[in-house]
Amino acid sequence: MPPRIPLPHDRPNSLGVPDVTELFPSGWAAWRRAYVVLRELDSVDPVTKELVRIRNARRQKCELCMSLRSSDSLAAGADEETLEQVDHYEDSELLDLQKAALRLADAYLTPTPVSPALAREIRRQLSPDQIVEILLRLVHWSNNKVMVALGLDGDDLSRQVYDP
Amino acid sequence: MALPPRYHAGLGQVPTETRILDADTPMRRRTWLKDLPPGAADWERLVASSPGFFAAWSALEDELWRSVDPTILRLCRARMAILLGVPGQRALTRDEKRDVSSLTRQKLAALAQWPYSPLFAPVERTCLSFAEQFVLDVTGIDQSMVDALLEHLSPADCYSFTYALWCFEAMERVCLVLDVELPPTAAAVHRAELSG
Repeated sequence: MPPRIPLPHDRPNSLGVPDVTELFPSGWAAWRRAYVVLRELDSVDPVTKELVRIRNARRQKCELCMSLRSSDSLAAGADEETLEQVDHYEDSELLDLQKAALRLADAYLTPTPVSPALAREIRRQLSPDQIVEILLRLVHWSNNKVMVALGLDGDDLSRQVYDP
Repeated sequence: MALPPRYHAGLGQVPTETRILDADTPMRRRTWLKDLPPGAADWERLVASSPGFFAAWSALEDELWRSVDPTILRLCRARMAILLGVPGQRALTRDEKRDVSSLTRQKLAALAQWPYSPLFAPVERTCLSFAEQFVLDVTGIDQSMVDALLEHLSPADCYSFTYALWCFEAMERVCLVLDVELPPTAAAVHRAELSG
């Protein structure tokens, strides 16, 4: 969809969507500092992260996020057949750890308080560091809501690989 | 009067109950994530699990409070918390209870009536309508809702306001999932860091 707000210029960013950093430069600078820290978290494997990212992308219907595939997940062996299972993960052949991560993601996306049974299952499959990392990454990825709300997530984007 | 927001099918009526907790009541501990680092309250323990991230996040929130009308932010943040089902929300810190105007506190108490109450200015109603749709179903936002914002805000202010909605909502969701009580503002994060 076209942008819903006037933009200072029509230059796209490296991912082919409107470059909006000039709209809120101080906010973007502040976020980048948080992102530098987030990038260093490494308790969750790349394929599990990618499954959670795509789950969020499809929930928010973000065109950009749905078009992307992370280079590290592909290097770790993720293929489209694996990633497509995110839509029906409970009945899929994904690993128990991956299913637990997706249940945690769904609790964030809905959002719902985690029941005692679900909490036990999540803690059985994921370490505290992994739980916190998944939730903080969902904070990052859900920034796509800003793009979706303001029509900044692009249109007819081809599949592209990005370096997280 | 702002048009009613478009809700995601199946969510039904928008919750109207406002439970604003007293700013002086001590924050609680009851998260199911028992293995967080030690701290006086669950929020402090969560911050301690990734102090670098939360320090940067606090700085981002500070930037948002500087960039966007703080009354609008307080109202929208409180309204989003209600819609997310946060059990009870502290809309103000102890310091803010002293410093925030009585009109703002009246508006916070009357949030359930924002579409109809004369307390709310047109810009506040427009922002609240947008914030409600943002949290309930962002795909339900359309050009008419953005145009309504642009009648009151510049494109840059529209963007920073929407950015603020994401920022506040995202951390509210984290805390809901973990059953952690979220402090009202970044100032509380700074205090937690100083006391830790």
